[in-house]
Amino acid sequence: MTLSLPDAEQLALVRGVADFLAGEFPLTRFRGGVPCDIGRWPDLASLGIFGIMLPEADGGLGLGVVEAALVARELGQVLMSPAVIAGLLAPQVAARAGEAALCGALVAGERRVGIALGTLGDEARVADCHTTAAYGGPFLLIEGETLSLIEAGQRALDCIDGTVQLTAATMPGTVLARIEAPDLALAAQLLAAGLLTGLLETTRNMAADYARTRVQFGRPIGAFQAIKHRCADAALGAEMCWTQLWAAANALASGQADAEFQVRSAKWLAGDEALKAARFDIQVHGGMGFTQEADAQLILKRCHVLNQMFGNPRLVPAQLVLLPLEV
Amino acid sequence: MDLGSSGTFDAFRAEVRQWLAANVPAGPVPPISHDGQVHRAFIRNWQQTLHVGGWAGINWPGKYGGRDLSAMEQIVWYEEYARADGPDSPGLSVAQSHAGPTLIQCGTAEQQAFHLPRILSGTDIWCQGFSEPGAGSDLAAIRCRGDVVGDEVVVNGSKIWTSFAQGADYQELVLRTEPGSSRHKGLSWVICDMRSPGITVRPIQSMDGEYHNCEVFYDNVRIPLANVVGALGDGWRVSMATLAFERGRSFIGSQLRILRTVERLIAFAQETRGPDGQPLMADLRIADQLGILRARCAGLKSMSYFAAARSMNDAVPGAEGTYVALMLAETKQALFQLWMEMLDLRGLEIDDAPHANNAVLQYLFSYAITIGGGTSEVRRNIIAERILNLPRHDAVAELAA
Repeated sequence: MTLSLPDAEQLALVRGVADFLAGEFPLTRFRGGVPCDIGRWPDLASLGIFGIMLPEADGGLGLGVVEAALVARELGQVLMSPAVIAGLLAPQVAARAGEAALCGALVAGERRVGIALGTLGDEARVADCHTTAAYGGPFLLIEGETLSLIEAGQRALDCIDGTVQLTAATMPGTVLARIEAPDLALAAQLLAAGLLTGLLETTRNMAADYARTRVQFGRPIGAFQAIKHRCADAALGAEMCWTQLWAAANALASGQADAEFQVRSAKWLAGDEALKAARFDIQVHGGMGFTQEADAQLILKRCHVLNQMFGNPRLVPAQLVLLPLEV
Repeated sequence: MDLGSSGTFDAFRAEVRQWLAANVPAGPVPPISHDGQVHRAFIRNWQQTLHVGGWAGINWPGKYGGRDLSAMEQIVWYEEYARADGPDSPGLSVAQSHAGPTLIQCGTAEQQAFHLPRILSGTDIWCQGFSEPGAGSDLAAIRCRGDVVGDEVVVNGSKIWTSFAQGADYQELVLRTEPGSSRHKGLSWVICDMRSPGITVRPIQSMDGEYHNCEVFYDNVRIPLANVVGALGDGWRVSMATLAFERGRSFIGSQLRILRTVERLIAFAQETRGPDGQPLMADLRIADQLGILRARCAGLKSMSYFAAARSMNDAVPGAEGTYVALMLAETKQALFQLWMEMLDLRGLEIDDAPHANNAVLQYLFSYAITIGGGTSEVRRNIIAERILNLPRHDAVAELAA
């Protein structure tokens, strides 16, 4: 056990990413209701976060999984495309498979990369894989401890989350790179936990902001305990998920024996708490909450997308019971 | 930022572990009966053992007889204490974690010289005297009177929910010493000798059959003014003084205890067959709930370690401790509810309880956890108002309307 807080360098990294995202990727960018992040892949690449864990010799930042998790949390707060997980990991997959050119193109954002949420029959369900000829992006598929970069024929699906481009890719497709990497498979779970934790924090703030300002019955609705108690639950959930993300990232970085339990718990808890908060966020917004015009629906829908990532959450708790845990 | 890795304290940990293995009494802490005497003898004896072993006041400064361990060593101690199933009793924690630290911060030299050694050695057991019939969650509504007459405070009124008053020698008594004052003003914190004439203690039986709490009545009880801690009228500040003392580190033991209970419950589900003859763990609903509890307890543990790390860095602890307290209480309650459910018909028998680590009794007492020390509802108000800055719930205006 180590007692730790983010250090000065980590905080500086987070601040840099947060400032960039606040200016470039405000939630208002989704007002058109269409996928808009994949078109800005080069902007994200300019931030230097693609291949964040890639060794400097391979053109990456050479940072650790802890820094990657901190960055994922910031990306989650602005509801960045779920494909960003592939952006963060794919360069390493290419590098470890010996595909240096592909790796370089991925780090630079010249090749875009989608993320397979999971498979359904002989198809993969892929989020934000740019399929136009100009980019012909591959997607990252994670099956157990195997990570693959694949190009395959795809058909567009109509996703409940209109800001995510969902496609069905016919498998097996063409494998550009494939590696066995238990560390990266867990890192993917950790990054998904980071996105969900960030989304949860945004949800908490959105609900509390509204509860503070919306006046009914002569007072801000946040004065009513029926409202403020649920805001408090969202705040507690966010605190637990952030600290579990931190603990899990450090467990993975230091090779702790129960790292898998910690990481998968972080992912499941963040999905569970984020969904609860997203549901409340719609309720607290009243009539506007269930419209396409307010942002609350965006959060709920994105939460469902992230929850389907890397394993059905319904089945996870029973698996968590069996994983090694240091008590 | 690395505030300390337990690896650095391996030798210390080994020393603690070895001492606890040799000294923690076998078997459970005796239940608290109506007169509390068996429990009292047990905890006095245990505190004396700790004292002789050099483990009393681990977080107290050395000049007051404490062990003065670093924050990291304290955490190692709490971890190992939980792993060794070290005895837990309000009769000890009030003196060690509350009364002692309060006297260290606000007491006079005389008060410190008399009481601190007696607390460390287990000579005296202490109880709290804060809550009243009309001042529970709303502590500032205290009405119990202390009238200053000459060099004495004359006490009339009552306190309730006082843990282990029937076995205590002294009480931290918070009184309204300024007539007509209200809320946080005009309160005083005094040391009350529980053997004073005019005190009547009525133990209250909890739904698990033990007498955890008491009602205490004061009929012209005379307490010397020299027993006032801090200034007269300064009781609220004195009551809050200990908040910064330990900064939630002892919580770490509670997180480990609850995680250990989850692991026991998982083992129970694997070993025990349900009415259908299958191991309970084969029931997907049970496996699912156990997995959720295990994950949530891990989250709770992460939250308290992070809070401990943050408190080593911040000048003043924030309201974040409320997160840990709220979640600990509700998770513990959920855990024992699940265990009760898993016991099926056996759960109806108290006699069979030792079978399952007294799960039935712990289940019954778990209803107190979300109430004592601040209800879950008040804790949610604190989180919403102090951390999220939501407007205060103005109960006074509502009642007037």
